[in-house]
Amino acid sequence: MEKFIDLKHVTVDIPIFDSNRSLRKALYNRCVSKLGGQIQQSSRKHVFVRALHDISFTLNDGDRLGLIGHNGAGKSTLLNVLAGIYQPHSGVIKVRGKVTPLFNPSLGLDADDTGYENIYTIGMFYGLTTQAIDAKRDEIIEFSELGDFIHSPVRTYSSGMVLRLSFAIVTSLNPEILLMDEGIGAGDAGFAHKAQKRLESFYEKINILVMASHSDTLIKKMCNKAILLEHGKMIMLGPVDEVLALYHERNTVTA
Amino acid sequence: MDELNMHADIELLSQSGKTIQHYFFQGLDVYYNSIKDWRIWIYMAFTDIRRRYQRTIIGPFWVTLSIAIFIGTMGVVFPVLWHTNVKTYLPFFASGFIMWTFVSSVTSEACGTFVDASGLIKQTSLSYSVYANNVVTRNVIVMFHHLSVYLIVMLVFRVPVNLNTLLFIPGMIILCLTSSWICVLFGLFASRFRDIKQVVSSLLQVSMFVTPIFWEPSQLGSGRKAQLLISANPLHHFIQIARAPLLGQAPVMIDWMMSIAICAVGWLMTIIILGKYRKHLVFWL
Repeated sequence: MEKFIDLKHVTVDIPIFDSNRSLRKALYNRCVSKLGGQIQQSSRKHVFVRALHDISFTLNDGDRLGLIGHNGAGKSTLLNVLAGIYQPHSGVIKVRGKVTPLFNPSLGLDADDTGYENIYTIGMFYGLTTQAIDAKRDEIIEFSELGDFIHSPVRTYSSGMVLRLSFAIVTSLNPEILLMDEGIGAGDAGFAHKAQKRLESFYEKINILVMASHSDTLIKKMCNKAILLEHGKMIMLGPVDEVLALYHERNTVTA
Repeated sequence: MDELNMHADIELLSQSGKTIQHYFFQGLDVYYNSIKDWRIWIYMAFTDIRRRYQRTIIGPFWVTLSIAIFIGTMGVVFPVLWHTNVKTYLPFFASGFIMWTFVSSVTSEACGTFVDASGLIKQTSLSYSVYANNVVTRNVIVMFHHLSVYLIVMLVFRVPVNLNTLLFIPGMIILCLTSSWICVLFGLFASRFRDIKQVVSSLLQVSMFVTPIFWEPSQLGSGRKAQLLISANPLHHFIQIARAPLLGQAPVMIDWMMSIAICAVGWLMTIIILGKYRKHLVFWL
């Protein structure tokens, strides 16, 4: 079945709560503030940031989309919307295909559990069944080169070893639609070479990729389309080079 | 496809009618998805318990041990204090206290259902009631550890085991279903208003003394006030549907009716509230 992502007029508002989100304040606003005039009314109003404003686009099989924009432009919010974590304030989203958000490669990793146990925990959170993990387990252990360490708690690992483990788990997945915030990193030089190959075959299998990045080279290498976001609005959708050119042009003008 | 279809086919229609029916179906959708993902919350519950007692020798039995000590001590002190028979008091107290521990720990952990899982909620699109089911399952597992204390009490005091004992199963099912909506509802409110957690924990403390756990309902006498104090307390009915079967007795009709009614009304209310606020929850964390 053809995979696709279809967004129509998607708007996302993120409410801002003051640090004191107490019941007392809410009750006060609800009960007492009705008596008064302007000040109270403004205190009842919800403060929010419009993180995405009227975004519409369609992606089909084979599309590799890069999200470009300065900090706070709405790249991560858009990824969260596509992942189904944020629900839009208004607009319609249609997604067909298994969406795998890969924002934090060590999602669900528990330092007190062994590497072996973590393979199951993380696999479970990415929607794998126990049988599916059973089938991939040996290959993950072998690729990560952790050897006997796989049966030790993850807190005894070096940070490079943790990276290897999460890299091996994540790249063993078969996502149909992959969402990424920046690329995936992989340990020391010897491992990096081996990882590169695995990463390439991992990306090849994906139907649709959406990636947010600040790195031009990464976007150019990975993507065939790009969107430029600015203050939550979509400025341009088009080929990577043109969008990047516009991004840098707008940046130098404002700077 | 060998993989669970958890992230597949997301379709969100946001500007459709915002009626109660709409919210109801939205909420029902969350519950349906969580049941589809049953492997995840069962797995989460077991790993939660494993992690909590990691590197201890007797694991979850630490809590069981402390409950055993409490029951053993109080079960001897109170009969002396109130001039009642240890033989009838101790099984009553042990079963009641174990069920109370379940009810109160589910209720207080309910406030952290979403707050404690905020890391996952912000990074995966798992159905929200997965986290509620996790809390309930975790507490059921712990309760079965505690029941081992009661098993000893049963053997020592020759508590009758008969057909009524089997009523423990439907009683437990009603308790679990009720805990499930409590976890969602309290979890939602406690994420938005962080005071709720404190309110719940202080109310629970009082409830332990108001509900007949340390004392038997018959000790209150048969006055009108006494009757009201017992039948108006929903916690009493919930404790009773599990405690009476453990004692080899059948719960009375009013216990069943009250607990089933609270369970059903609570679910209906929670599903609608969940449907209405599911969009907002992630921003409350």
